[in-house]
Amino acid sequence: MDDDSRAVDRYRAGEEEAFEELVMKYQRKIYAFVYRITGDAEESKDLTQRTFINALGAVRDFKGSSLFKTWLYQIAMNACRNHLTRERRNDIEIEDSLVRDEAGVLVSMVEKEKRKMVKKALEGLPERQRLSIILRVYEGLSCTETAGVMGCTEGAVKASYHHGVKRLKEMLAEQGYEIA
Amino acid sequence: MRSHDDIRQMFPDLLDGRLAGPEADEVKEHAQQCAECRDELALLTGLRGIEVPDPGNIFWNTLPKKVLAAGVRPAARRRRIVSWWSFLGPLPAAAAVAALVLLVSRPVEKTQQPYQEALFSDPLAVAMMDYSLLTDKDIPLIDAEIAPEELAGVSEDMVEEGYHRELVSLNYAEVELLDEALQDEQQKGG
Ligand SMILES: [Zn+2]
Repeated sequence: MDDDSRAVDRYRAGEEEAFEELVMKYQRKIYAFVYRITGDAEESKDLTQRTFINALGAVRDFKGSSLFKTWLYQIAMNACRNHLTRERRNDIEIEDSLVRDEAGVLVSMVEKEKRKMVKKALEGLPERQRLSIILRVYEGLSCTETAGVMGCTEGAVKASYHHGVKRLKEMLAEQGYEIA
Repeated sequence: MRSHDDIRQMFPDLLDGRLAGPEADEVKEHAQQCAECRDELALLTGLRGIEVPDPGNIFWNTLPKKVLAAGVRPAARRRRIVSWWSFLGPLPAAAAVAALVLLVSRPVEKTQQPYQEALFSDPLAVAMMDYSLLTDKDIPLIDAEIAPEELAGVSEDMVEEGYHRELVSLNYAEVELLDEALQDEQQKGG
C-alpha cells in the first residue's frame, strides 16, 4: 500500500489531518494542471479548491486499486469540463488570457512571443489531444496513468498525444514559429 | 533498438528526468540523428516553458483547511466548539480577589522593564495550569467564528496589555470597588 492510500485510510478512520496532508501534497500540481487547461489564474484557484472538495466528498468511494494521484487528476479534469466546453464556443476568452504576462517573469520579447504562440497553439488543440499532452508532458504521467485519468486505453492516449504534437507543430509552423 | 514511435513516447519521461541512464542515452542518440524527433523534443521543451503563476502562500497555506471546512466530515469526528474555560471549573471569585489584594498591597516598582516578568504568582498563568487532560480536539476552532477586526483587537489586548498589568496599576480604593463589584456579581449570579 502506498503513502496516499494509507492517508486515505487514516482519513476514513476519522483523522482529518490525513486529508489535509494529501491536499498539501497535491495542491500545486493540481493548480498547475488546471491552469494549463484554463489559462486563467483566478479561475484556477476556484477549480483547484473545487477539485479537492469534490475529492473529499467522494473519497469514500475511492478504490485503492487506482492511484490516488490519477483519481485526483480525473476529478480535476471533470471540474474543468465546464471550462473546456465553454472555451470551445468562446475564443475571445483565450485571447484575453494570452495578453497577460502570467508569471510576471522578465523574459525577452522574443521568448515571450514564442511562449504566447505555443500556449495559444496548445489551447487551440481538440480537448483529448490537449489533455494527453498536458498530462504526459507537464504532469509527467505515464501512458497508463494518462489512460486512467482520461478513461480510455493506452493506445488511445498514444494516438491522441501523437496527433496532438503533430497538430501543434503544424500550427506553429503556420505562424512562423521556429522550433529550435 | 527502439522504434522512432517508441522513442517519441519516451520524451516526457526524458524531460522529467525519469529515464535510467542507458535509456536516456538511447533516446538522446536517436534524437540527434532524427530531425523529426529533434524538432519534437525542442517543441516539448518550449511547451514546458509556459509558466504557471503562483497564487501565493496565503492560498497554499489556507487551502487544506478551507477544503476540510467545506467538505463532508467523517461522522466520527465533528467540529466541536468548546470553551477553554469550561475545563477550568468554577474559579472562586473570592480567591481571585484575595490574590489581587495581596499583589497590589506589595510594593511594586514601576521601573520600565523590557518585558513584564512574573511580578506575582498569576493563578491563570500557563505554568500554573494543568493542561494534561486537554487534547487538541478540545481546542476550539475559532477562526470561522471571529471576524478579522475582532481578532485584531484580541491579539492587541494579549500582546500589549495583559490583564494583570492593568490590575497592578489600580490603587487601593479601586481594588476595593472591584472587590465589591465581584462579590455583588457572585451573589446575583453575574
Ligand atoms: Zn525519430
